[in-house]
Amino acid sequence: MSYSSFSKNCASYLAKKKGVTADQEMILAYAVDVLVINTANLLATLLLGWILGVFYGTVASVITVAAFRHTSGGAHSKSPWRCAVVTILLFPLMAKLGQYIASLDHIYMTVFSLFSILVCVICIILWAPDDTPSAPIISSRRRKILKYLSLLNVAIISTIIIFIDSNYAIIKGCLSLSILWVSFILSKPGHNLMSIIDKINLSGERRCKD
Amino acid sequence: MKKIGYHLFGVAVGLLLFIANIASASACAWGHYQPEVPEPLRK
Repeated sequence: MSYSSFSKNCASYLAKKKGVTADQEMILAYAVDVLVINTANLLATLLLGWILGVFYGTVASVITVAAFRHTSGGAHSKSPWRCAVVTILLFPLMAKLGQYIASLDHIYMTVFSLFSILVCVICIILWAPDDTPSAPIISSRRRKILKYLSLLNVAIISTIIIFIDSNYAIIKGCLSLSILWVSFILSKPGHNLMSIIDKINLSGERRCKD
Repeated sequence: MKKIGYHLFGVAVGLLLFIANIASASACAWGHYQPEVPEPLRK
């Protein structure tokens, strides 16, 4: 298992103090990895969103994509550092673009929102849940539950997009862009983009094995 | 003091095991990197 040395050190310290099994120590290292990477990414993303003046749009995008990632999965980078760069840049940029779309005529926003919802529904039906070799979905029952939860997510987000007040046009734009991104990372081009990002040659970094 | 510290480590271990279970139950965490799920948590 390729966890960071920080996570491994934390896990072995806790294991020594509490006398847990080797399996539990590995689970602790995994938990610290998940916690540290996601917290650091989230804080940096929100900070950049705040600096760019699109804090609330960034929060809306993060919540939407997080809800879908939990249930439908999608393409991943093999490196935590590349993931951090993609995550930290993506959400504030999506919020900026949402701000721009909100400034366009009402009809464009409506057409764009409906198009996003339609694309998302099709992609979820076709490809969700999309697992990775590092986190495989083995049980068919679990796969079915995640599919239903993904469809529930689409229903909830679509309802918000359709019925949100026009004063929150930026949020509406951000939510539409977020579900388009979710659809993209479920698709083949999304996987191709992540593998291109993984192929950019940088030396001396930790990667997740396939 | 030593007893409180021992209990705190217990709470930390419990919390981390809970987080690991939640994270492994979902298709992925919210970011674009997925650490390898340990064998005992794969389902």
